[in-house]
Amino acid sequence: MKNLFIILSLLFAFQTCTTANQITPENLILQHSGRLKPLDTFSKYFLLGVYSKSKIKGLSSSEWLKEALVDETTANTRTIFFIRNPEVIHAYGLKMRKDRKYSFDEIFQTLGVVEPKLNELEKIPKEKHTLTQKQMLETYYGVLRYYYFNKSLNCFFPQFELKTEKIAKLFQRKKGDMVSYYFFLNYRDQFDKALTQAEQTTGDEIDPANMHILQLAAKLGSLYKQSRPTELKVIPADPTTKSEQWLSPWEIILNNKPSEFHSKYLNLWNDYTQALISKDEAKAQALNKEIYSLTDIEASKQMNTHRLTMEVMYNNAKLFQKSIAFLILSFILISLSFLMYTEAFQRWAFRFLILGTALQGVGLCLRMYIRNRPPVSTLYESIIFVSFVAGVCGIIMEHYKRNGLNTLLTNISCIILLFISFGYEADGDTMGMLVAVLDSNFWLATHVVTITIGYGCSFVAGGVGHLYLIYRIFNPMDKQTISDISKNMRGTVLVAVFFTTFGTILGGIWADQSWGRFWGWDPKENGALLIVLWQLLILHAKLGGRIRDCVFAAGLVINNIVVALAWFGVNLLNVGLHSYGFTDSIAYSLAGFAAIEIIFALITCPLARRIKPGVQTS
Amino acid sequence: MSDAKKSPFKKILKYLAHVDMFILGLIVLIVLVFVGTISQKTIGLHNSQMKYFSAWITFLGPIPFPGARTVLVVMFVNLVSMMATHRWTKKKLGIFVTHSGAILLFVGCGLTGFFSTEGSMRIDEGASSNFVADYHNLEFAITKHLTSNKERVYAFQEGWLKGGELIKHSEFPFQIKVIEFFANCDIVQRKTHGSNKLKGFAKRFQFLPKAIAPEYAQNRQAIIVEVTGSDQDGLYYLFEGMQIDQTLQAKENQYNLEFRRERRYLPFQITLNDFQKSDHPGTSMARAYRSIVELQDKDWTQRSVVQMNEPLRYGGRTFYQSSYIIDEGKETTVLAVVHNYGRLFPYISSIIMCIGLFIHLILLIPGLFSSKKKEQ
Repeated sequence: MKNLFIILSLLFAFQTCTTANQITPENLILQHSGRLKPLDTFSKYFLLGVYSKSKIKGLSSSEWLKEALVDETTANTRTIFFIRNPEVIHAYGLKMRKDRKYSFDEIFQTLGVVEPKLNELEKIPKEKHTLTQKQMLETYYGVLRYYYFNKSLNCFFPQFELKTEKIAKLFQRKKGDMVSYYFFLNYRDQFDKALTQAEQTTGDEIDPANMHILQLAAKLGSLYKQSRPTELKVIPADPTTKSEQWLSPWEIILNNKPSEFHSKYLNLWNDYTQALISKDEAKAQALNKEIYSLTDIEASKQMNTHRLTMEVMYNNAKLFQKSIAFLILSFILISLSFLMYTEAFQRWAFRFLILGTALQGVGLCLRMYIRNRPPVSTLYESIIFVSFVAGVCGIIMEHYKRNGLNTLLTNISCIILLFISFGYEADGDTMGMLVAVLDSNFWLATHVVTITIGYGCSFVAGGVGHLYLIYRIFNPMDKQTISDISKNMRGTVLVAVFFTTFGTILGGIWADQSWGRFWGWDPKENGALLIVLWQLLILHAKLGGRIRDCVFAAGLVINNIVVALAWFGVNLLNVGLHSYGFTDSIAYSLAGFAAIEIIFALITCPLARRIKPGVQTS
Repeated sequence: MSDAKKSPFKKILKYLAHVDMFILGLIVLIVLVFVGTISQKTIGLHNSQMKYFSAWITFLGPIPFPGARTVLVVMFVNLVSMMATHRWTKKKLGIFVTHSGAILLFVGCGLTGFFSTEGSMRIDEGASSNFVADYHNLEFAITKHLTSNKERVYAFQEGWLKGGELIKHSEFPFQIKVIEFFANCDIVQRKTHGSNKLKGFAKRFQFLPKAIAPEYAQNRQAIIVEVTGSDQDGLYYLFEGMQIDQTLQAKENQYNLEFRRERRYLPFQITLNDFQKSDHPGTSMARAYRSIVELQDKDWTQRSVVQMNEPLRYGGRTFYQSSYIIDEGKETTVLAVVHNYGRLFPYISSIIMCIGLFIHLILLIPGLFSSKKKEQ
């Protein structure tokens, strides 16, 4: 059985690793939000932002991106805007639909009506927006972003017909040929000359060739005026300048004459766009490879580009989603084992727990490698890391005492945490750049990791607290297990106190190093202090004999609230130096969580106190 | 030794060392930290700190409540007494070490709380500075110009500024009465020319009092003073951060009036040679910023780079890269300057506590996690 499990795991690992090894559009490199990233990550988060999922039915994110860039007509009819709030749908004058998904064309039609209202809204300070107003604006920005973005490559679209022989000859083409904005850029001198001539001709009858050149100039001018998409920064910084800034094709075109270096890329992208439009797969693939290998050389001057390859692999592997699948499987098995008293189920549940946790560990390691950072530097990562810590603690405890209870407990905690983390993923690139003060791998590795392990252990302790109360009520005769859980409670709290205390002190030391004060009573610091104080309180009350196991367990249940408040709640206050991880609209979830925990403690603690383990009650 | 034979001192000590006192202290502290954090949303960080954490006594609504200082002192006494009275055994070595570390942390906390000073230093690129401006305390400064390059400054701190105080000194011939003090105000242009008593800036502008903002930095403090006995008697309007000097003439000497953050002068000066800022490419998000400074003491010159997470330490003070101002091409660095005698304590105590808890965990853990039952 064990061998079967190992074989299964290896097969799975192999499948994960081999998903991305070819050079496809997703490997192409661009600079976005201050860092180089594969196009895959960019398109994934673009979609997550508007569609709240990272792929559309039957279309991967990068396939969608390709379509959005070169096939506007199809892309604009795809329902990629997910509007959660019905009030927003009404405000936009859209018809309510079951899936609440709308296409760009649909929204664009109603935009004329709603736009003045949105412009009014923009003048009101952000803090005063209602939830609906905020979401209305978010939708608007999403639509605008899409509107500009899908024009990123239209400078290469063959969209201008050379209608007269004379003009065609001037540009060494045939009459009726379609050419692009970029095409004219290469014949700028000829074009300017012809235009000046056309403008100077007077008389009643304008020569058709002159008329045509005037029309072309007007069309080119209008394209020039409306299109300035800057988001698709796929062209590397010119090494002859000292800039590190990559540029979008339009940015280069709008600037003066492109340098030789930039021209090379513009030509490649021109060909690539043409190949994509004409659906010439082989040519597109070859150009894709060429662009990739050239940008890869430039990118490698700024970073180790193997990390970008790994990022694509990481995106495709979806380790955390897979992890949650195994954890749910494990949860089902362990639940079944309790119902049917089957030990085999319990063993398999434990193995799947190990596999699920290991996947999280692998995911975290990959992120560490890709970002070249310690495991935790954003709120998103902290949630995954806490889940991982909880998983490891659970495995250790289950290893010592194979009763399935810890597997159950750990599964529940990890599943909840991972689901929360998916919510944060939709906020944008989870590998974003850090503000200057956080940009210190040493302190991220020491303080942040320590305090996050502390959070993880605290949740584990809280979980054991829940378990103790429930077990004592429902299984009062099992004196041995109750006493074991009680010992586990004390053990986990001690470990938690160790990490939260040192995490907090290390945080103070970091603050002393970078801001000049050890302690500033800032909400984030106070939040961490509250956890430490609360844990010290229940620990001293327990060790000093002031409270017994039941109240101690209830204290641990409350400890979960303290941790959640310190972790997510302080950001709601939005004051102080630490308010960089600002999140909103989680206030209700927090309040709900706190209410549930308090009610749980209030009900179970008095009940459990009435029961004496090992004594039959009537 | 029975309790009856114990000396009264020991009895008191034992009473002080009671675990209940510690638990009570923790509960009070938890309440304070919780209330103090929530209140920052409305009254701001500085006010909340003053009200709950730097206070001996505070009020929760109408109810008097011990401030964090009182609680920390009580907990410190409790901890020291516990250390002195507890019967320590080998098994409790970890606990002993941990608590010794905690005592050190309290000591450092006290030293910092009572003796540390902090402020900021602004230096324009190419210029020098030799003083630190306090973050919160204000002063009213009168600068007497003696010769072209010599001046004498008389500074009057906050006690003098409440309003109604009379400022006199034998070394200047006039006297100054503080008419009004504004904790926060708006500056508004006068619609009509006011009375002839108004001098300088006051001729064209006036102050309108405004509710105090939660964030201390958002407030604009100002005073109105009346000068009598000089050549240019009248009302002068001054606010903190005023760019134009308000001057007056008295007995052939020129005086500058200034309302500013309290200054602490350093025995050395710092010159900003260069300020550098770089953003993440393609964004306006700062990746790093740093000041290249030159420190000049009597016979000692030192060049240093001050940047995020890498402060400059000199003469007991630490200079941190705190912020910057870039205005029309002119770059100004803002350094936070801290003078803290207790700064090493957290470092030492955390190491000691870490070792202590580690020992304790090692001694204890095997017993806590019950071992796997051997299946037979």
